[in-house]
Amino acid sequence: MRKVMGLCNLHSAVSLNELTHSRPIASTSFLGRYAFIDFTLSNFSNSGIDEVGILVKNQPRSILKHLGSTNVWNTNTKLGYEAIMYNEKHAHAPSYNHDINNIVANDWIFYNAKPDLFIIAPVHILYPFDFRPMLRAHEESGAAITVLHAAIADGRSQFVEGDQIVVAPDGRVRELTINKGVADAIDVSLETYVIGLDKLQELIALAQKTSAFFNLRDAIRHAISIGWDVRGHKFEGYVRHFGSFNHYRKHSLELLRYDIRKELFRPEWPIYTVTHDTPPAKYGPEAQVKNSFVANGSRVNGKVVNSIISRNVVIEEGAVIKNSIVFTDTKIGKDVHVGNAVIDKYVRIETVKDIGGTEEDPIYVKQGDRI
Amino acid sequence: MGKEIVAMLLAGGKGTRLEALTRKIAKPAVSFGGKYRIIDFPLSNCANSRIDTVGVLTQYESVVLNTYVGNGEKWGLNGVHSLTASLPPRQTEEGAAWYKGTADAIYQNIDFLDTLAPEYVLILSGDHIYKMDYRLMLEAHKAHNADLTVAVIDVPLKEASRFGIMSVNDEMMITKFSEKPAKPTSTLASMGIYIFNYKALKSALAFDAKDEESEHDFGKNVIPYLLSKKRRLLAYRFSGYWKDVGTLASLWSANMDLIDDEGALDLYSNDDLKIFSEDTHSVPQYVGRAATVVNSMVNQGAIVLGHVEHSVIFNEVVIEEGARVADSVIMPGVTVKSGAAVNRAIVAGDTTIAGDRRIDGGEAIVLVTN
Repeated sequence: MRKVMGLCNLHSAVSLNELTHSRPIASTSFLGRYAFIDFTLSNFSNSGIDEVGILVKNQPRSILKHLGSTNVWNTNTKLGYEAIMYNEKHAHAPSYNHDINNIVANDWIFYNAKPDLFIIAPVHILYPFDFRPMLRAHEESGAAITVLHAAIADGRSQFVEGDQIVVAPDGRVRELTINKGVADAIDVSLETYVIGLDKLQELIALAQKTSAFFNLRDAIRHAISIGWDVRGHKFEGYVRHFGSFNHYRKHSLELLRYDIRKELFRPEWPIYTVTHDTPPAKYGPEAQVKNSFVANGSRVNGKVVNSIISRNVVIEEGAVIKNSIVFTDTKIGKDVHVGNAVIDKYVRIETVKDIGGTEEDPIYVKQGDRI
Repeated sequence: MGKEIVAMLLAGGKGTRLEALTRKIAKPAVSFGGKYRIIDFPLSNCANSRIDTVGVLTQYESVVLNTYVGNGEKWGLNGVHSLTASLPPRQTEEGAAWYKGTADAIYQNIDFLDTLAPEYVLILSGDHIYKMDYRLMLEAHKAHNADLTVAVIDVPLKEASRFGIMSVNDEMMITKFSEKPAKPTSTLASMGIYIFNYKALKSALAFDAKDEESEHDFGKNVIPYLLSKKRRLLAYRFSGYWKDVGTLASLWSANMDLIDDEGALDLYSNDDLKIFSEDTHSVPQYVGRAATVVNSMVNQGAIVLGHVEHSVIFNEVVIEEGARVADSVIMPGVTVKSGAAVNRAIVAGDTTIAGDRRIDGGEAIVLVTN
């Protein structure tokens, strides 16, 4: 029986500016209910992959808090696990704190877990995907590495600074470059790789021999250049790259549209997250909610339009929230107007009655602030 | 050393007065409050009271309930020192029998209790909505050196004949107990929550089991027996929200209490009495452009595109645009089609309400099923 291990790679994620100052994107709140890592872990879980390592780059605090000791994502809670893989030796040396060194520091995956195949997947690229066909394709092709990729139509604004990829008609990956945002119709890598155990060790040796600063992506790029058999596996469907604060806001709010939402949330592909045992949301006599997500534990007695309200948020009478995302445990007081904003956790807005940015330049309110 | 206290939850009843709601599931498994089942309340109370060992006695349609209770994980009752056991009737060397009453159900599980060797046994039922810290009751039980403590609540005199009613002396010791008296002389009603000294419980149950006249019921037989033996029976007064949800009307009004009366049963406060339940892995609830939602509770996974007023909406419910729901409880997986109107109703799970239907319970409450 073939054994597959998933590696959730937090090293390749980018910054979302303000949002990720005190947490990695993996544990950043999404749609009022999830953390980004839930989607990657649910892809593993729904694909029948129960053994998972999480390559943590830095800021482990909120990752540890989110994962806790739960086994939300496991089918068998004894056989399955989500192991935190952290490289404390290099945690504070940016050039050395990359995924290759993390795997080297956690080499129990080679000697103890010993899967036949690894799937390495990021958290900042969101896509619902069953890995099983990709695993089969990898085995049938005999490739050294298989890379998941997708065609996009808006490369000038999406996947900028992400990985552009060129896949030849025979399926071989010819080139892996950085998308500099100069063309719209491009092929992008979803930074998701299938690789055998021996090949991963070989790739690491190749990287270490070439440059101590090489990360996984650099190593794969190098391997392609020296003729390794790296193949593409085409993904079609909902995929979004979270590369900036504005991407975060845009990609969140667009899910209010049913036609987009149904691509990400499919009945046969549940997204698992940690339960907080909050009661249902409560709507007061003055509530006016339109085109919005409201998470459990919230109490809404104001007006909410085109917005995302997270867990345990209180919106008092006369308050108006438009085109905004409000994180958990925040309170929007009486008659406060909020527009085009992202308001972090534990904020109280009571004194200032008008807070807003513009569509292009939304305002961000820091965690815990009183306004 | 044995456990200090073990909880035994009586969850075997059908709940006939809930009509078709309990056609396929036992009453404790009936949905409540947008995301819960009735049994979540006593089990969460156990967790919050730091009681780590719970036996759940099931009988009617026990599969759903046994599966739901599982290893107690939903309430955190699966830790290293914890034990959650579903206890349906079973075959033994002596033969096989159904639970013949509340007392008999416990008696048939005496071996389970003996293994745990508790000092006290807390007996609960799966029929009530309330939040309670049983530790306070146990303290009173110990302080009064009681053999049995019965939790009591004041009820209006006109309703008293529905309950076990007792008289007490100045020290709250019970002097008289009558189960569902025709002419009640007190308004102190039993909540069906008992703390027994295990030794006293065991001997009373052994006596009761041999009594061929007995209905094997705590209220009708065991408590009167202990009174006749001059044992120390304490009444422990509870003043919070407590509601029996045994009828459609009371189930409906307990749901409405969550909306109307925040002080009644506050699910939102940080009072260390959080109610735990199953997580449904639902998507966030979505409220549409043309929707209106006022005075309501709505759970995750619901999609509201129509009008919802003074109602409790469970997970995976869809209220289509042009549908109107008022004064109703809409259980999981229900779709209310465009054009339909639902008033003063409880709609059972997974029901589809066609667009041409006008449902109105009027003075009563109507139950709608597929």
